[in-house]
Amino acid sequence: VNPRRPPPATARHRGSCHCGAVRYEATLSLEGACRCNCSICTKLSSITSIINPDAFTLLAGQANLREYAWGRQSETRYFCRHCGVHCFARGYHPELGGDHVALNVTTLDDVDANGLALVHFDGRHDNWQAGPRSAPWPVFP
Amino acid sequence: MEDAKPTHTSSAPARHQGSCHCGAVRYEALLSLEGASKCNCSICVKLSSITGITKPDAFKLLAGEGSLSEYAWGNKTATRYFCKNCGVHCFARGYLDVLGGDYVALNVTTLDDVDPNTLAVVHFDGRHNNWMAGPRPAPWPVFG
Repeated sequence: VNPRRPPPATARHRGSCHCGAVRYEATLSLEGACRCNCSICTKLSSITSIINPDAFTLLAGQANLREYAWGRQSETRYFCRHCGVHCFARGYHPELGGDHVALNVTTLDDVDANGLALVHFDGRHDNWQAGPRSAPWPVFP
Repeated sequence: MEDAKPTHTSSAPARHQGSCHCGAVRYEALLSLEGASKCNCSICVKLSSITGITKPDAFKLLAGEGSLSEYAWGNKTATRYFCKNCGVHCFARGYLDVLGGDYVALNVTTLDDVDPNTLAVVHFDGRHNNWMAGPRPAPWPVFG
């Protein structure tokens, strides 16, 4: 992120799991929506946008959420216990400005994810300093 | 495999291992990755899954029966199975005449020996029940 560049315009979006138990809204820019080749991002095939927690509102489904954290437990992923759709994660990383919400953009109801210009991170090799690129990073080796 | 969809018949099936993320659910399957597909229907979009179809006798659940949650909806032609601990959708079971009867639909993104970005994925217009259009290389739109 270039700090001298003006921040991209944000818009209000609505999202949900598949069965409808979990619903949320969030204000975000879809510029910089990313994929990652790490173990969980590959299994989930998720597309991530990072936002501040105060730009995210859970509208329904708190009691339907299951939590999943692993490894260093630097973030917790939330999925619907009925339909299994992963909607968002919460975490803390100083380089992401502290507390953040990582939305799974594929669960936004007003976005066709195939229309997004995605970028890709090499999270599998902890190679965050390489930054985003337009082509996916390999899973193997 | 001769009674599977035509798009799955032209490359030799191979044995693959798959799992959820936490490792509770593990399986192996014999399948061809040619014809692995994405779809623009409501559940395939939410899950961003990539589907590889195989026959039930080519699929073996190695571990995790007790860790699976089932999800079926609408006309319930398919039941999707996800790990209740980590939430990863691994496979579905269903019955469709056009797929040769009983089938298992693997989520190819859960295969441990495959990089999904290396696959030539084809796309179906499931959202509009437009199966007769067949697979194509470009994604079908979600809206309109």
